[in-house]
Amino acid sequence: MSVIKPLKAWKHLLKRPHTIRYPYQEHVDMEGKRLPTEVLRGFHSNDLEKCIGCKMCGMICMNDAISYEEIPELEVEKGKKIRPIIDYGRCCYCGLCTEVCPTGSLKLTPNFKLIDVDREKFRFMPTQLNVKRDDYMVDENAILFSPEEYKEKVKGNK
Amino acid sequence: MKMKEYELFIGPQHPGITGNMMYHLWVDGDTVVKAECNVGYLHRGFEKLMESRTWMQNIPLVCRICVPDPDVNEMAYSMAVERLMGWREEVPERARYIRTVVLELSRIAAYLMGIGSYAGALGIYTLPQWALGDRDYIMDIFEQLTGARIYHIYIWPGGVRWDMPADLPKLIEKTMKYLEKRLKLYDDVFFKNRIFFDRAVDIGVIPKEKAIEWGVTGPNLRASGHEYDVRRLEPYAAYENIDFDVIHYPELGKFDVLSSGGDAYTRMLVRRLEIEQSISIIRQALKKMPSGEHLLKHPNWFKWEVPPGIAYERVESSKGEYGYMVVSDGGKKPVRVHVRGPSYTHGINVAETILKGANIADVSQILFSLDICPPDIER
Ligand code: SF4
Ligand code: SF4
Repeated sequence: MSVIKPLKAWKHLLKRPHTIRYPYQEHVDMEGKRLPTEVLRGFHSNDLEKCIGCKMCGMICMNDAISYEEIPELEVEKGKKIRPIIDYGRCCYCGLCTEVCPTGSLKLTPNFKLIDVDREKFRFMPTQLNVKRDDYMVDENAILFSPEEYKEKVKGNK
Repeated sequence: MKMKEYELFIGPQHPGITGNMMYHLWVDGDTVVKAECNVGYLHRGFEKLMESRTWMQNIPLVCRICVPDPDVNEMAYSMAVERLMGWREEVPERARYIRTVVLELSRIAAYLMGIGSYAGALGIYTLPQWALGDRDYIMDIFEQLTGARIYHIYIWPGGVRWDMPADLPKLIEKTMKYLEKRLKLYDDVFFKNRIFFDRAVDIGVIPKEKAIEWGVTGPNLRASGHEYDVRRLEPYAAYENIDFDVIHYPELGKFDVLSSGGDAYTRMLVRRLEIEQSISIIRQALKKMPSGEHLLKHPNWFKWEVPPGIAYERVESSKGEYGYMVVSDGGKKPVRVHVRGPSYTHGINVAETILKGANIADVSQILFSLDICPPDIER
């Protein structure tokens, strides 16, 4: 039992804060590796050329997050032109859809940031475009900054 | 006119309550004369929902039953499915060890959160900030191992979803070293603090003789003086090959035994000491982890039929004993899944009983010392 020892907490006054100044500062783990890593289950990406429109992903999804839309421009036979659209208001990022996808075209990416003022934007067709990690999806009407501005701010704060 | 008793509602919008639940208190002066638990804010009908989903579709659902410690749910459900499938002995050895590591990491994370919120209930606001900050380093490990920070959806029937990356043990070891260092500081600031002792000793006592009768499990039961741990009695995952102590009253290691057991003070010390045991379990599991397969081959998920039967499996979580009863009629979906949540007894009858006679100021700390998790009361 001690009354004096708790005062040790004061030494933290001289230390750097524990919190991250997000989004100006990068989130890194203990070893300095940048997070999220490639394993993180975020938004989907779908290779529209590889996908065959078999609807397996929609069958396993227990949240009814997947619907389908036809893309007429695709150069495949007529019945196979549908491609999945994901509603991120419903998706729980479990990734079961990617596990059952027979072609392996549907994948989860570590991209999870979508900033928009219109909730309809949270329902979209995943393509190959959102595979790259640094592609923040920002609507130009959104109040927050664009990817370029974001990068500038991160640079300035290191 | 003199008013003798008045009524007080604590929760669901109250920082001194353990989540989305409410206690209705009848108070005489400063003393609680009657307490009534009021739940229902979190009822999502999991058990019924599970009957309309296939065996694999239930995995993303079960982890949501306990937010701070989700992996035990996946584990108990997977164990029950494995039992019905006759896979009990076939689960790959490597998967067992990875499961052990995941379960213990999750236990540490839950304890840190519990200790932090308990200290907050006593008015020591330093510890909640520290504990939740340190818990985030465990979330970082989970993020790299399972792909998610909170709901991992990682333990599957027949093994684990992905293999552990080769460089992860290094990060885990580094985090464990850091936690050990921090625990020493926690001791100085909180566990050996005079305020903690003055406030918590002999508050909210669960007597040893009553504990079993009241259905108390987990750290709360061990704090009452019973040496009872499912990890020891019915080893699952890789616990049978791992050496650890079952922390219980009155063996509190380096801490002084200042009470007659079963009070808030002992309950928190048991949790504090179990973090150290968990760290040692993780180290042993990482050392003994063999190489090899990590998941048994699943049948086609759309056609997966589990042989008829009833399986009951239990695991030790940070809150107490979790049990899953799964009934199959040989179909593609379970007929019935019943969850035995530890907070059901702790939050309802135990809390109602021990709150009687407590001061209003002690209500929060008693509830936090029981580590009640409302989502598993109502599922
Ligand atoms: S990740 Fe899960 S919830 Fe999201 S679309 Fe796929 S199956 Fe549905
Ligand atoms: S993404 Fe995969 S599962 Fe979904 S329709 Fe395309 S090929 Fe089928």
